[in-house]
Amino acid sequence: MRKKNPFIYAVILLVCALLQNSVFTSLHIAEIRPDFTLLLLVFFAHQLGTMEGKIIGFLAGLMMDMLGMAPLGFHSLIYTVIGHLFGLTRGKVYVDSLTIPVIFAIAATLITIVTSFIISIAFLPLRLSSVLSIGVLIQIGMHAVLAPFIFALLRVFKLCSEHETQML
Amino acid sequence: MEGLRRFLSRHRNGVVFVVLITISTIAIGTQSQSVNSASKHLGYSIFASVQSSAAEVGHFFGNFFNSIGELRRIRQEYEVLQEKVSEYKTIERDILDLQAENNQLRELLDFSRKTPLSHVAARIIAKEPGLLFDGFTVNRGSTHGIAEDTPVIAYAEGFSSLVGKVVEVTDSTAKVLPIIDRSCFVAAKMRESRYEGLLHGLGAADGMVEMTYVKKQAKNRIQFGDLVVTSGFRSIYPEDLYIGRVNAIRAPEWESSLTLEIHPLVDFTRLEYVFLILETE
Repeated sequence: MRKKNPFIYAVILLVCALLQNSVFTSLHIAEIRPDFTLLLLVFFAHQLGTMEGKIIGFLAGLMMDMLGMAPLGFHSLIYTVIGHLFGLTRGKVYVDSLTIPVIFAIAATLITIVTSFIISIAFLPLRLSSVLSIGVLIQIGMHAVLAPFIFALLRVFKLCSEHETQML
Repeated sequence: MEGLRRFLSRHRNGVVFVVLITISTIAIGTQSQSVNSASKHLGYSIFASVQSSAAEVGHFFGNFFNSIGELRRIRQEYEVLQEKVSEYKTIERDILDLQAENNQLRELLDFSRKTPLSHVAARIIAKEPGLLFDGFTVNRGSTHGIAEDTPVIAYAEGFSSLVGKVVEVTDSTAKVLPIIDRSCFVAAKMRESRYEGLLHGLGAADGMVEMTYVKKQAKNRIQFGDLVVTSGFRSIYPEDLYIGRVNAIRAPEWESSLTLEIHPLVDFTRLEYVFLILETE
């Protein structure tokens, strides 16, 4: 499997992180906004592998922390974990058009929630109830619906492809 | 030394993962007490202007696509006119829309003129995307006289209603912590009965705020729908800014004070314009 240029993926992810809280703010259901950066990171990490996945995840998270209200390190930690874990699926999981993107999106959102929960217990006890709110279910649903479309869009731009399982 | 090098090259992937996680954890640990820090502010300052430009570009493209939609609508109207059907209904609808928009803008202008507090009007250009943090960015910064802890108000239901406070400022933008955020605390009192308490947010998902430490003897003098205002007592917020209305009263027997659930006057989901108070004296 030919490895793609991680620089392009990093730039796209950083631009998405930049636009997410300024241009895409009108896209919400009950004030719950989809995390496009997370979804892109999942597919990019799957394309690039674990090393590049966690590094671009760390950088995108750092940018979101700088622009948002979260303490520095909050998103960078979560996205590093996501980049690392979904990088492990490179060459091992066949990504179809519908099922795997939905599973990836749900899994990534659940990992984000669990990591947020752990960080909240350790550092942000005031935020604990937000992690376990009904908004979490709405966000999981949104990500599950959006994931196949984002994956299809990435395939159009040749940023993602359906991989055959690699025989190692 | 050679062993360490061999270990690092063999476990490069794991080492990088541990290093990145450690950096992030240390960063959270050193900053979790406050949303402000020098390193974060440095990064925010760098990207804030880019964010502001991105928002402008977004608005430009939004207007562009709206214009395309508008063109299509006008073409349809032309056809309808040619067929001489439904002409007056369409015109009437447009006039009503314009009247509504005109009234809204006139109300804002009127509010801006009447309020005795020196203020700056600002537009919201960015909102927090995540679930855990509630905040937004406005297009006014230190060059417009905005500083940290500047109170932010909006016009809602005919009142000067409290929105929150500024927590971080750059030259051209400012981050606002809304009263619905869990880390925002406001000294408040009942407008009629004058009983005081401490108000804090319950998060954007609830969209409510909670007033605690209200004396229990106030229970019979507080009604549903009563207005809550800022007390101004040792606070950054001026006195008598409206906050919300009482939505529920809780008086657990094991507690020595009342807890009131307050529905904010400001609808944070539809908030577009705010006013930043420059002088509170």
